[in-house]
Amino acid sequence: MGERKAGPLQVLRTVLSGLFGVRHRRTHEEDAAGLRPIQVIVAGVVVVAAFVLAIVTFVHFVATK
Amino acid sequence: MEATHAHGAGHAHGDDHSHRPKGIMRWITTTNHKDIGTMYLWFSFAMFMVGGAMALIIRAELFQPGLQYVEPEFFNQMITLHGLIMVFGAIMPAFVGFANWMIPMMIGAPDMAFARMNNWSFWLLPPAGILLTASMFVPGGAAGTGWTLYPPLSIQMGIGMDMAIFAVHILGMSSIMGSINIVTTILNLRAPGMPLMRMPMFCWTWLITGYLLIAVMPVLAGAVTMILTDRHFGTSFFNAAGGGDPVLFQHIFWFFGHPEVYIIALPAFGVVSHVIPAFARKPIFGYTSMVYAIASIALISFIVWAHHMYVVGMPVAGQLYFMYATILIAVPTGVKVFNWVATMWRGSMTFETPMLFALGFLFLFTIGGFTGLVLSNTAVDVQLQDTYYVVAHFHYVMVAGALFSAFAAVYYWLPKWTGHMYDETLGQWHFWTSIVSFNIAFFPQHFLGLAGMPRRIPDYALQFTDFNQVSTVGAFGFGLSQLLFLYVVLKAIRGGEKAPAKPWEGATGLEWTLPSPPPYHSFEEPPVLTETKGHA
Repeated sequence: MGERKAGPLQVLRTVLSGLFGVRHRRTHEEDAAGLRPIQVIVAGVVVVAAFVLAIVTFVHFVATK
Repeated sequence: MEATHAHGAGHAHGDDHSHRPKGIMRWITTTNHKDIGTMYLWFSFAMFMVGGAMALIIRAELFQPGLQYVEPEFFNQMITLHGLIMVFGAIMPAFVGFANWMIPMMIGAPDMAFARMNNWSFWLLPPAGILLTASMFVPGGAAGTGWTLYPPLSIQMGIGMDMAIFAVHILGMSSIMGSINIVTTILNLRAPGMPLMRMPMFCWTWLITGYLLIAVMPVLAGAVTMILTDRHFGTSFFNAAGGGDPVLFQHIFWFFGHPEVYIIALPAFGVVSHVIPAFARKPIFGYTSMVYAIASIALISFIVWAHHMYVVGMPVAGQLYFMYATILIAVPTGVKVFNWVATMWRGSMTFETPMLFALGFLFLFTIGGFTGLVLSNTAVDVQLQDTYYVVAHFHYVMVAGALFSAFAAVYYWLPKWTGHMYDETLGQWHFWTSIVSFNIAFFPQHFLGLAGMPRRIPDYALQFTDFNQVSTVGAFGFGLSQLLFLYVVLKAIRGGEKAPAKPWEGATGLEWTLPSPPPYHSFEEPPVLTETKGHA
């Protein structure tokens, strides 16, 4: 474990599927092999921040005429 | 994960009785995770009885319109103490008790990481419980603000309010220490060969709950401390007359309060994720997605807090943001419900008491979740907020969700703890009387709320009488059912059919490799794990 480093894309994929809550075990295991917990935590916080921004932007369009 | 653990010569000498103090000092000085877990559970049950008695006072008063038994001020105090005691005194300590008992055994550890701090986190609880209950007898009575302690009322009350504030401080300290202990234990004391992504689901839920608690308990402590300084030290954090803002308190409180809902719910999810696979005789469906769902529920729980305060005068953009974010949190929760159902799909199910309570949880928690979605709609919530619809909603989540899961946990692990099987017939009676009376008590409250009956008021308009009477009958039935639970537990402690090491055919995990009851020190040497399909 940990020999092959996971790229940003794999980290993002892991976190996004985490937010959705569904993932195939095989793809998870492929990605998980190179993941370090700190990567997942940082990506998780970043993605949640982006999620908040996305809702705020959407609300901006809905609430302004 | 299967384990063969070397019960070598070292284990055979019965060291579990050799060097522990006897009598009361055993319990005061203990650093043993099982003793402390037991104390947590008994404390929690005692508080459950106290909080339940208060609920029955509330329901007795609401049996008829008009004022019959208690003064309105006392009614408000009952509402407040019932909420505080049930949340902080009954449900949370119950799950910390399960964590204490089970996590070291599940991960193959000898004890918790910080054994003495563990003792201290428990022994902080009784003073807090005494502060809360004793506050009824001081001048002015207990806090009458509701468990949310909103100012300006909380700034105006008597000394009972200060006692509630200190109780919350103490309970918060206990929770933080308990969480640090649980997180450290899970991260550092797992048996060699048990990576995070293969540890039991109950440990995962508690790992994430631990972080949630560490993140939000200081926020609550800060909020109540600000109330305290507003009351006694001339500050005006929440006092509009001094330039403060009472709505600020609501934001701070619910920034704690919403994750708190998941602090209670996640360990309950963990228990159900053990019980359903055991009685469906299949490994949990979608282990990794369950872990992901728990983590994302925890993260999103921080960004939805103001859905509790749609009517405080928020701009419409704020209302929309919190509405969308809240609706989206239903996705990972839905995934979990799907996974539990898929776990049962084509399983060989049997319906012993733990499974019955887990299924009761699944049905009723889902109803509670759906009414939550109804309330998350701002336009609907404007009408329903502070009505009995909200009371019905969160009792489906807290009682049928968290409490039923706790009952499932007790029945599931009682043979392990006591070494005796509980009385299955009486256990099933407990389940059926509980689930029927629970629904009689709380289902009509949805309709009361839809019809406009406000919560936290001892009197009501005549047209609400019938449903309130039904609800009160159900509440007393539910209260009486819990005496049956006490009897079943005491009966199993005193004796009964000898429980094997693994009383449930489909159960998996290290805790079942230990004898029932387990030795005083669980795993003095780490068990040897052999990797097989499925998870502990």
